Amino acid sequence: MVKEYVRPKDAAEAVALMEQALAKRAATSGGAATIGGAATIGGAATIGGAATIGGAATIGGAATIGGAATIGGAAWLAGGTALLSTASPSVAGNRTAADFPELLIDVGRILPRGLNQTAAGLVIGAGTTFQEVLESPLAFSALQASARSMANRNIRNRATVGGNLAFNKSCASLVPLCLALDAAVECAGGGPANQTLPLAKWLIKPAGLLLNLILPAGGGRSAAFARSSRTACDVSTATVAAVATVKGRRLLELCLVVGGFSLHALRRLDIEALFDGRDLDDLAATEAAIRPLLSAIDDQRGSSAFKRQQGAALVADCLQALLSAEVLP
Amino acid sequence: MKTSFILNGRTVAWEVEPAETLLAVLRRKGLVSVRNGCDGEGSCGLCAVLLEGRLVNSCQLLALQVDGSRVYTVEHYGQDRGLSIVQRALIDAACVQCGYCTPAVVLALHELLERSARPTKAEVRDALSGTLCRCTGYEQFYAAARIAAARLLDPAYVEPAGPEFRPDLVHVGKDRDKVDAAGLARGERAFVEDRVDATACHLLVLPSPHAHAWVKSIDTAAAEAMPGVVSIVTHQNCPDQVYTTAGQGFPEPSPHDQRMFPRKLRYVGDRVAAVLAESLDEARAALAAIKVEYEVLQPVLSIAAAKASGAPIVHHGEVSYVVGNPPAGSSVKGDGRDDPIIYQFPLHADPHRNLAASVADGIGDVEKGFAEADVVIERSYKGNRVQCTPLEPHVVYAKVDGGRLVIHASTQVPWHVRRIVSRVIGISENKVRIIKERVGGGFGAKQDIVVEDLAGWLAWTTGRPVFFRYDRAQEFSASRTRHVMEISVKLGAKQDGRLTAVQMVLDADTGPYGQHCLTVPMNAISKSLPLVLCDNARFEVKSYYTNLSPAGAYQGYGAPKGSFALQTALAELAAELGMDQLDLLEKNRVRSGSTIEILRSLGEGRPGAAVTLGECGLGEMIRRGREAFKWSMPRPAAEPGWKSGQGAVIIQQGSGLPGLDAANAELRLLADGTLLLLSGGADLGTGLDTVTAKAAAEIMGLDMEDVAVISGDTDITPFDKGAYASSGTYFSGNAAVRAAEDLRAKCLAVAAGLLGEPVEDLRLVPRGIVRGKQGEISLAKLAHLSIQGEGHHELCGYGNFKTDHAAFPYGAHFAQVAVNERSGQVVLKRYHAYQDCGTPINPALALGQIYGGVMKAVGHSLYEEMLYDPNGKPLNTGFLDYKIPSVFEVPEDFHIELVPVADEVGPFGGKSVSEISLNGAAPAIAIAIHDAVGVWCREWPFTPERVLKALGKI
Repeated sequence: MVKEYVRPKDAAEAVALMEQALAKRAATSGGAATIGGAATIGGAATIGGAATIGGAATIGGAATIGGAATIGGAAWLAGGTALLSTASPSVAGNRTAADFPELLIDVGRILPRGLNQTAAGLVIGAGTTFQEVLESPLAFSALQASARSMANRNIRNRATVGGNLAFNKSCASLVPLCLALDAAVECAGGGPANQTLPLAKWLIKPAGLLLNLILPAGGGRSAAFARSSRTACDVSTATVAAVATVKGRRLLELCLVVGGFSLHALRRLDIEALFDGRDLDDLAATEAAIRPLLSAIDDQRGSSAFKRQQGAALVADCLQALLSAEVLP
Repeated sequence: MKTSFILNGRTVAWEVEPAETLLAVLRRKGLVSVRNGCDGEGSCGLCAVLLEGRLVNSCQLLALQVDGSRVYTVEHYGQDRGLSIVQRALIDAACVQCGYCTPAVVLALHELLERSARPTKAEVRDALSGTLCRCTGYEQFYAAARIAAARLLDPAYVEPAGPEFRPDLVHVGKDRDKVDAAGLARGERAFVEDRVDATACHLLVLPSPHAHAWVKSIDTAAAEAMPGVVSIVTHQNCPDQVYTTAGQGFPEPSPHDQRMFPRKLRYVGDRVAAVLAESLDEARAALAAIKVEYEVLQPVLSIAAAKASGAPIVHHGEVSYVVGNPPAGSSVKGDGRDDPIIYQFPLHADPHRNLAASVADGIGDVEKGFAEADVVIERSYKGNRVQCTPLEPHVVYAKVDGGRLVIHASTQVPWHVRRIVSRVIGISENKVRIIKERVGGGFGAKQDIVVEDLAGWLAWTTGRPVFFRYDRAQEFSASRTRHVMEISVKLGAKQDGRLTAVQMVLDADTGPYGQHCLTVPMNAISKSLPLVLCDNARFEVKSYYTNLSPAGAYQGYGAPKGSFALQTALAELAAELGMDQLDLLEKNRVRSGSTIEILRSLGEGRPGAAVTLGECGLGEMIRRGREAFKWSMPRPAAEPGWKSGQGAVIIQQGSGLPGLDAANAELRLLADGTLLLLSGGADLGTGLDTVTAKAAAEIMGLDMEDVAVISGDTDITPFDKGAYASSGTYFSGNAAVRAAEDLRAKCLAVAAGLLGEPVEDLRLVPRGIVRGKQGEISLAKLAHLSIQGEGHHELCGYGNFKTDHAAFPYGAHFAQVAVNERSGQVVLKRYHAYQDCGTPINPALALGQIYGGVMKAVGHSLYEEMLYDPNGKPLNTGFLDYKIPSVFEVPEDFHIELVPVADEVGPFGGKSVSEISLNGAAPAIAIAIHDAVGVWCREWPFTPERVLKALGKI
């Protein structure tokens, strides 16, 4: 359980505090203590931004964040909507207070915040809340749709972009679109200077404190986002983001990311191959082509057969929406 | 650690723990308006605060995170006992029901109006997207936002009055403020959790991890030695007696089959042990130190499994009968190990075959009726287990004061709590006082004695104050749910649609214990079958024990499931006959002057009698619905990819239990001419206290503010059966009417003497004047003279109400849906409810009851269902996975119309209004789905998966 809370004055101090926590833990456990390697430090040091324990990104999502915390973990904290909810009995499952991080490093006020159009693309501070994304005139339609899919207004007022990426849950609102856009992230820690690397790479091996998300310029491409959920303000049961250059009914350089069918949202090269460079067929045919490629487990949110059918319909809807979607700036 | 921030305009500097949430700290510091409904999931929004002007959940915010920030809670707006524009608007729009969510709604709308002076409906929806409300159905929040916005621009804005009824009366039939609304909107102390002393001990229960198991051994030694532990209770040291938790009149029509701690555990969540400790953390630590060894048994997880030959036996104790004899062939000899079962009421049970109760009866000859039919259909329907989910979970605070046990309860049945708790503890009823606090939602779950027995026992035996509050997960696993019911309906009809025979065969799953095991399933029959006129009708009801979550009362009390089965079957029959479903209903429904013969066999445990209706408003309701939905016109076009359909049903309920229930009230005239009404009625957010206050004000010629109501306190107020069976307005309201009439008569008699005029020349006129032909005297002076010096005595009226008269509210509900054949999603587009509640005592509050009831039923129809793993462990024990509707699920066109048909016995012609409104959504939506896509969904909720299965897509 949480024993200590600190609020560093800047990112450098935040990183230093995390390194100290890791070194302290390593000294007692004999493990490595470098900030760059999530796999070796149990995840806690790799928290990306704010609302979540970043280690989750490497060890399997929310359900396993307790695992990071039980080894004397520290966690970066900004919004707190995801991290603190893990203490709730219905979210915690079999985890106990002892599984919660002992040290919380509050980076909520030091993370960059806001959206800026730059030569590199649209830069979104990791500390930007979902509501701020939604309200920004710089947010294009698909980005707005992704941001709107985050729970409800109360949550959007606190949940941060960095936290959503770092937690990287299967239902993460922003991850599919960001991956489809080939986004990059800027991080502090793991080296003497801030480093920029592809989001896809960072999600596989989170490194340091996530500072900014960079969405590259559209280059004439269009983007669409779709989700399914049980009720409107529910977590997403499936998410789809698609980016392509649209010529009539033809999709070129299609990039498709699907969430809800694996531990994390994944780019689906197999589905892309069905449609890239071709005219999109009608919904029924599109859906029928996709269905065999989706696999899912039976659980309380539905049977595998149901999820595959609903997912195929969702992907087909998203591709269809792409035909008339806004061309990205 | 210290956190310093500006709270409601003043700087505070508080010591907090690093892990302490802002919610916990605010409550610890006495700001009780921030409520906890989801234990930090962030799914209910009741703990909302404004942080730097933004609405956020304080359960997901550490107190240390707000250091240096500005935080506002609802307490900010209630200073000097005033009301903000939003609070006033919420009261004017009748949005305050139980009031548990109201502070959060106040903040959400204030935040909205800060950024949008004239908010659109979409903006209101977005603003309220994070706030769950189970009472109101959300619809009236739109009006509140509109009123508040209008008053921001023009503080003198007056909202036009809504529909009014009974022009001959001053208050009745007109909208007046709900009497407890202002306090609830201000977030004042009102609920049990607000009454807890700092020295209170905390009670936690160790829940069974198994659905069916013996406790082989239990070792509490280590736990008992831990710091702060006051007492530990298990099956070894709890009172050795069985009882029912059903808050019903004695003798209860429910088996006494539950021990405070059972020897055999019968569901996941059943009580294994309880720890009372001086702090919550100490209780948690001790709970974890209890060592239990279980002998796990095969669980019974369905009705089919319960009925199966050789099924595991859920209850295998000795069976005895206080009333009647064992049914022929039933087993009574126990296994020598399990807890006994005692029957106080003939339930026709055979518990060793898992049969908890049964009944069968009917009229005419159904076989002859089916033989005469041109068409016979037989269909099976299933309704799954749904949760009441009051946003205030079960909670109790018990302490010993002056040698008596005082229980602050969130209950619908204070007197039944007193009776059951005193018997469990083994003390007389005069040693027990139940104080019903404001109830943060009950919906039936709080008709049972779920927490009061244990808290009362521990308070009495230890002498320590005991606070016991379920967390949300416990509220899901160990509350009371609506019974699973499987209903087979067989209908015979002539080619013209006239019914020749109706048969309903119902199996119910009562779960591990038998509270309400007969009456709820019976109500499924008795509130559905009498809607149609047929000479040949028969029903069979059987209720089975299983090892799933306990079932019990839930608003509608079984009727929604019976209504779903029969109304959907009638629509299926219409389709079979090629008829319009409304035409078939018109041909068979009850109408003015009908004699309802089936009521002869539906006597609530006593001999029934046929009832001849007076006026029935169903025809008018159906006419209005037909017109609004342009029934005979082609269906409106749906969006691409969607298909549109519509359905309609007729529904009914009762108004209390004639011949069984009773209510009482006492009305005192105080020295300043105001009134103190002591009502036994248990207002659980429904507005019952407002109904009784209106009765007093109306009859005594006073204003509403001249009446203060105290209700549901067993020491102070007279007996009332409690709030169930749609009895509040009809019984408790009528008791208040009679108390006021008695007081009025006494006032006139005393005034006659003082004025020297015959009593028949006197009348009571507003405001509080007794006027004769010669002179007049105020009630204040009358009261003063009566209690002073040579006076007579305190002027006090008494009212008792009981009746054999049955008053049926009726309704017609219409639904329009859009169905996506590819995803299976069903979107409710329109919902119209036309309902007769007799004279609407307070029309806007009556509408609120209906909106709320309908939205609960919509949730049950489309989203809500308790799910279990193969071992009987509940899977969805929070709002993240048990989806109750948010404001986004409210249909775009949600319309209620009151079509009153006055009842000759009801208060001012009033009847019940709330429970009936849950009976329509499921069948109306099922019929609309069929209308849209041509398939019948016979199991609810109609999830996308079930719709796709019905469509043959998966």
